[in-house]
Amino acid sequence: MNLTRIWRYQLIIMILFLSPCTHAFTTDVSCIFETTEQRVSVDQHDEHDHKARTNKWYFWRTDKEVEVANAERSFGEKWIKSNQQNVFYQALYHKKNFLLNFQPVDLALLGKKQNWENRSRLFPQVILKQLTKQGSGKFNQYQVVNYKGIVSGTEYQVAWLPEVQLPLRVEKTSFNKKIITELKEIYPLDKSPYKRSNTEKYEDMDYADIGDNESHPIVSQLQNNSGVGYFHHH
Amino acid sequence: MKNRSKLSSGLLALSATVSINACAATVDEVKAESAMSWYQQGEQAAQESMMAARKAISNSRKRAKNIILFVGDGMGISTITAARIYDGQLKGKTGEENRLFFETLPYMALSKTYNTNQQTPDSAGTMTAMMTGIKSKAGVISVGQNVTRGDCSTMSGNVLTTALEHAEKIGMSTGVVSTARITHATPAATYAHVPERNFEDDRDASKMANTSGCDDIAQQLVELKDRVGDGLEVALGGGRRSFIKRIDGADPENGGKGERQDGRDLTAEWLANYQNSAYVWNKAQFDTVDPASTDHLLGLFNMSHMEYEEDRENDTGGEPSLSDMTEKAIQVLEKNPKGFFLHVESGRIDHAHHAGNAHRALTDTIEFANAVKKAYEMTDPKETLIIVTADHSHVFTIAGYPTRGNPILGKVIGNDSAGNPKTSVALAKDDLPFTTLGYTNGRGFADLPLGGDTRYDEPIAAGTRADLSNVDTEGQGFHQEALVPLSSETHSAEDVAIYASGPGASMFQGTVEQNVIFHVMNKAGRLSKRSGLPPIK
Repeated sequence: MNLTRIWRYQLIIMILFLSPCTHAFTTDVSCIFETTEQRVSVDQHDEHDHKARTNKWYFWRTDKEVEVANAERSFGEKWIKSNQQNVFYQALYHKKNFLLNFQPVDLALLGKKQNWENRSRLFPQVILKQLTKQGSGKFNQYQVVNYKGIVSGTEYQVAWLPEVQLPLRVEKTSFNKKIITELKEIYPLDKSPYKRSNTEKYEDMDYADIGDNESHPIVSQLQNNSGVGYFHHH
Repeated sequence: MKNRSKLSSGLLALSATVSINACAATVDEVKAESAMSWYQQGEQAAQESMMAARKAISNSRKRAKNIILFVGDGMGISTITAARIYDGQLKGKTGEENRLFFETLPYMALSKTYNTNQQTPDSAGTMTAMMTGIKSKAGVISVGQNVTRGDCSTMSGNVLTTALEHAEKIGMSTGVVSTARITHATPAATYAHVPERNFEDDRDASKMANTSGCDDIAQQLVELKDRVGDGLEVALGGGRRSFIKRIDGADPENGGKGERQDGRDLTAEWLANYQNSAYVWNKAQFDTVDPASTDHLLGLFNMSHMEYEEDRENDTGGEPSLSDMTEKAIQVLEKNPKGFFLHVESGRIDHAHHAGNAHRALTDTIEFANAVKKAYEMTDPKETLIIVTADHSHVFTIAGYPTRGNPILGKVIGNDSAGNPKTSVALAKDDLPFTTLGYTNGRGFADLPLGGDTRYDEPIAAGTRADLSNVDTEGQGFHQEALVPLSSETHSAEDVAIYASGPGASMFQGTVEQNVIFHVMNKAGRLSKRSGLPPIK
């Protein structure tokens, strides 16, 4: 056999063999996002001034953990994937050095069973697959693929970063609301100027123990409002 | 004449016995009730009490070979009454005439539950009183009231000997069973001594002002053998996380981390400490344990608390019921000819009340009664002292004037002026219906797809009324209305009941301080006399 042809076949096989690896993405990142939410008036007679609200928030990710925090770094949430693919959740009260632990069964009972893929990618892949590619571009050194479409009555415009499996921008428009999430900064996790808080020394409590601790100085404050944590809208 | 009179009384008593011993009445049986049937029922009850009292006099010198202390955490009298009715209604009866099994035990007293520093107590101080004979402050585990909470350096001279430790010293077998974490306050007070109930494992040291002088509760469970006797024979409950390492994959069920930062796997140490030992973490494993060949059994069925009975079948790993655990525990313990001491706790009646979910509080109470019945049937009442009580009560009320047999979890339907049930619900002054069951404080009304601890994820709704007209208040997801808004419902200060049978049970009379429970066990079992251990170390 011709040696050149052999080498060519071996190169093709190598490329095919390695191609799943070349599609692997960078998991360990640190980001800053901004989410803007605006009410859209559907009534021509509505004279209310629907001011947009913008929140800045932090995002850190490894292959086993996703953590977010609000702009003030006073509150955060962490999702931890175990070796057996179960997801644990913690509500983090940084200013109080306190965290609430949720077991997987607590999350199931709360109807908050976590889809790890959606949580770590910040946008449901099942929706992304239903959108139409609109072209591509660049953001810093990252490729950008643009998508657009309507799913279940909601219009999406997504600028997607396939190398890190995160959105650069998501615009979601439903009946009377528009939510825009934009990536402002992204770093490799180990090079980020924004470090996660060390929660190992935080006082911790099980969600199921809240009832026994009504007089706990932190718990009694936490429970003044509805629920714990805040939601990302996508 | 006298003989004929005695004969007819006897026949009367016999016929009354049949109606007394029958289960609570069906609706037809209610209609058959009469003034005479009530009279006969009361007469028979008095007859039984008299016989029991006579037996008590002849039984009073007998030593209790076995002692079982059942504690329904938060199981106040209103909880017992509501659970009794619910249990009866689940069996197709009107419910009010029903009795949970432990309500048939012959001896009763009321227990004053206050802590030395709190009018409304917590579980730690109350169980300390029951296990050591000495009342103490809230939040501490089998140590005296002079400690500073959270500071182990103040423990010296305040460590109190527990009934379980006396039993160990004597050579009895000992066991602890709970549906809460096995390191939680109530079970912990049987075997551990710490000035802070939350020091469940070494990672909790950050909650302590000073840990020098004491070990965490989980460590004390496994190392009891180094302090007295040969250690626990049985420990079954939740709280696996305090026994395993804080590394990925430590938890065999979920693959998560445990809590221990000292690198110790206490479950492995349990197995290494004893021959003929077993460690299990799910129902399948639990079912395969042979009590005949197992002398030391550790079961940790959840990383934290076990499931409410209502939800137990949904547990991913599978959990035994409280009755299952009680049965297995006795099967292991009863092999010891010297007898045994066993503590069984239904730990989550309390949690259900904190969440304002009466449904789960009542179903856990019914299962608790099943566990007591199981224990009674497995043991000889002539040599086993069984005590059933609560550590404290809750602000849980049964109110309105619902008609006889009204669903206890339902909305109030009252009677008309003739005393017959109306056809529509009662309305309050705000023209809204209301439930029989309610709470004085807590998070208030919610109707959730899944009730219980999920309530904490919803806003506080106490202090405002909801229109319950179209709400299924009997469903498991319904949380009763509450008056005073709090982040969780609280304990209450009123007395709780003590029920007892067996040698020494007749010592329960009148209204007593909660620490008297220990002294009854002590006298009945001659514990301190035989162990030689002092009350305070």
